[in-house]
Formats: sequence, C-alpha cells, structure tokens
Amino acid sequence: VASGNYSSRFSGVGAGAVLKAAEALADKLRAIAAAQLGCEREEVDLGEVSLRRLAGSAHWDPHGLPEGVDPGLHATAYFPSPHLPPPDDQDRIPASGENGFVVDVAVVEVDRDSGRLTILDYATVHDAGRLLNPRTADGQVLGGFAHGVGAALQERIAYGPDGALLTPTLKEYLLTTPLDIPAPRRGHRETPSPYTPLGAKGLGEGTTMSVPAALHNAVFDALGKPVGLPLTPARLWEAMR
Amino acid sequence: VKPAPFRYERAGSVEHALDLLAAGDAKVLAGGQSLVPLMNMRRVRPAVLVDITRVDGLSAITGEVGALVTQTDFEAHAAPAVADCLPYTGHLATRNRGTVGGSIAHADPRGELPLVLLALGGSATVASRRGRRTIPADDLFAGPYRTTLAPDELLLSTTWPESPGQAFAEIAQRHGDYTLAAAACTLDGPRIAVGAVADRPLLCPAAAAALGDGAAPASVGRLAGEEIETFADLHGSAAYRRHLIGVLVERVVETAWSRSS
Repeated sequence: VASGNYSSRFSGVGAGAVLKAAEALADKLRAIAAAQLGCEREEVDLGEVSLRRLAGSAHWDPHGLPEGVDPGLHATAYFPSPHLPPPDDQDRIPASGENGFVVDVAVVEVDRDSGRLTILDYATVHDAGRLLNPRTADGQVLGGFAHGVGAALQERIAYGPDGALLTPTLKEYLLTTPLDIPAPRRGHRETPSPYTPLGAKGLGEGTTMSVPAALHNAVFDALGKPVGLPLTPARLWEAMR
Repeated sequence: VKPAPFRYERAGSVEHALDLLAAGDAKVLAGGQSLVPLMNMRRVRPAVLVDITRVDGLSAITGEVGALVTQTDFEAHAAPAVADCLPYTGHLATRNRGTVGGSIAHADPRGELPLVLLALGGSATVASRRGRRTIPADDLFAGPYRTTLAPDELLLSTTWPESPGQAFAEIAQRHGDYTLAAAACTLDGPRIAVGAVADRPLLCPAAAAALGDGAAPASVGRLAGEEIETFADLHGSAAYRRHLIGVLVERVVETAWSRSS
C-alpha cells in the first residue's frame, strides 16, 4: 500500500481542486455564451463555440455580460479530502488522503565469490486510480525505483563506536548510479478512487517503499535467512559463510 | 571547493620543469583528474603548480610509455593486464584527461595502474637536475599516495612488460567505484600482486612461488589471501578482503594460463 507523496497532494487533492475550478469557469463561459446566443445555459456545448472569442469577451466586453456575471475569467476552488481531517486532540493526522496499491516481484542473483547482488528481473504493478498523465506516472515509478534500489543495496548512514559519522561525503555514502539500476517492467491497473474528484490516488515514491522490501525478500528466499539492509556485497558474503 | 592560493607555472620543456621542481614545494599537474579535486578539497596545498601538459616528448608510446600518455590512449598498449584494468580506471571522461604517469606518481593504494605496474615488474624513469634514474616497480610505491620519487624528481616514462600470460581483475561495489580488492599477475616470473587491500599495492611472493611450482589456481589464491595483511572498514571485514584476494588471484591466474596456451 502506498500513500503517495505525502497526502497525495497533487493527483489526489490538488488536481481535484483544479478540476472544480475548471468546472466553475466552464459554467461561467456557458452563461456568457447563452446570453450571446440567446439560448439556455444547458443548451451550450463548449465544444461547438469559439472559445477564443467567448473567453475574450469576458475581458473586453464587460457591458455585454449577462446580469450577475463579473468580468474576467478566474476561479478559486477547494477540495477538502474526506480523509484529511484536522489534527485530533492528540495531535494526530492521517498521513494519506487516499491509498494507491503496489505489487512488486524481484528476481535476483547473489554471486558466491563476491557477494554482489544482481537484479535479474523486476516487475512493479501499480493501482494509482485514474492516471492523469501516464508519462509522469512512469517517471514517478522509475524515479522511486532508483531510490529504492539505492536504499536496498548501498545507501546507509553509518557511525563508528565513538559516534563519529563514517559516511560524511558521497565517497563513503554510496549512491547508486544508472549503471547499476536495471529498467523494471512496469504495469498499471486503474481502479478509480470514489473519494477524489478525478479518481486519482497517490503514486509518487511508491516503489521507493516497495523495492527494498522486495529485494530483501528475494535475498531471504535465496539464502534462507534475513540479512538486513543495505544488501552490500560484504554483508551478503558474511551471510553465505 | 576552491584550492588554497598557489602559483601556476607552465613548463616549456623537461629542463624547465626540473628547474621549477628544484625550487621546492611544487606539485606536477598532468591530467589533473586526482590532483585538482584534492586541491579543491584542500587536502593538497602546493605553493607552486608545475603544468607539464605542454612539454614535448612525454606523450608517445614507444618501448616506453610517456608520462603524458592519457589512460584512453594507453588502450593501444599490448600488455593484456593493461587492457584489462583500464576500463576500471576512473570513468571514460576522466580517462580522456588522466595520464599514465599521473596515476603512477599519485600512487593511490586502490589505483589499478600502480597495481598492474607492480605485478608486471615494470619500471619508472625519473629525472631531476641531479640526473636520471630508473626505479623498478618493486621499489616505487612507499605508502598511501607516496612514491620513492624525491620532491624535485619528475616522472618521465614507465615500462610495462608485454608477455601474453598476464591478467587483471577487480571487484567493486558499484560500476566505476573504488575497488574493494584487485589482483594482477604475469606468468613471466611468475609475479602476483594485489591492490586496495593495504596502504599500497603488494606483491604476493609465496603465492607466486607456488604458481611457479605448478600449484592449482585455487591454492595459489588461498596462499595469497593468507600472506597479505589487510584491514577492515565500512565496506567489509578483513576476512571478506582476504576472501576477495583469494577469488581474484585464482581468477587472474586462470585467465593468464588460458591466454598463454
């Protein structure tokens, strides 16, 4: 289960408010068009009129606007998620407006000689509700995957027995580079959320959470015991002794 | 990330460079791929930087390899262990600037080229105003980032024996990362050396003697792991490094055998 990027701020909440603002503007345009065409608002099809002329007249023809319609085209809208109430009396808040879902499958190989782990195959399938933009969704999955691989294989903040930080620079704190990150297979199932205006759920950083668990479980399966993160060559070799 | 103040001098000839080095507290700038980052971190603070990149006569591969030959151009060299190790030497972009002479003089204990020079039994020719001398690789590496070159000496060239029965291998945590352990060998001798497991590349005389007596690669590797004093750090225990030495020495001996037959 992925909460998405802190309370699903964009796809779940922010984009829902944008939808409501856009709907308010469409209503206003219909009112202006109905006055100009001499018809009822409900009869206006915004796909059939000149939007450019219609939108322009909201600005340069304030006298031609119907009764009760202000000049200009702007709207402010809010979407209060039903799952994001204010802090309770113990100052607790829910971390997530809506939950997406992730299923990952990892196939790995551990080299007996060096302890190095190789990701042979990786599949990650998401249900983030309705995808607002498949390309950015793909980017979120890939970016989250890269961070997850780094966290699983190399990244750690280590301290010596005297409390001194042993990983103060990127020379000791090993970031995973593109050369060590395979391209995962990606899939999406779209089950729209009933709780957000666009049916979208959170997606960002989902694989950041799932990849370390999936890789560690794959190693657990291979070696028959839990090893702990990160899955460094030295640690895997010690586990195989 | 800015260096401490220093004076920059561009040497026009070897003699000019030697005069500048004789004045003291100077560092030689060749490719700059290791020196400049160290200066920017202020780990190295020379009073004078002697730029030798425009000096003629140091950029050719003949019988000897000029100090200014880039690591990329060094790929043309015929020694198989050299070809093995260059892909692990820095990255493509740094190899285009980084020089063979710079790698040797820098003497990074994890460096691939110092290890291979030692394993092959190569040498370095150096000069100062006091004269020239050739230092066998066995006597060249003195400690971490330290060679037996005097402060006023300039490395001019190196030699890399080219017999077919030689190989290099290493294991790193990431692509292009500093190696956890590395090994190289030549059946000519035979000679075996390991890198990144001590303060400098080290020969493995007991393992080499066993190899000369016809021992199997696995037992040669095991001997090498036993005879080297190594260390533990954040990235692995001493036992892990000994194990890697054994694995890598076995691997390079097998490769060298297959290349020579």
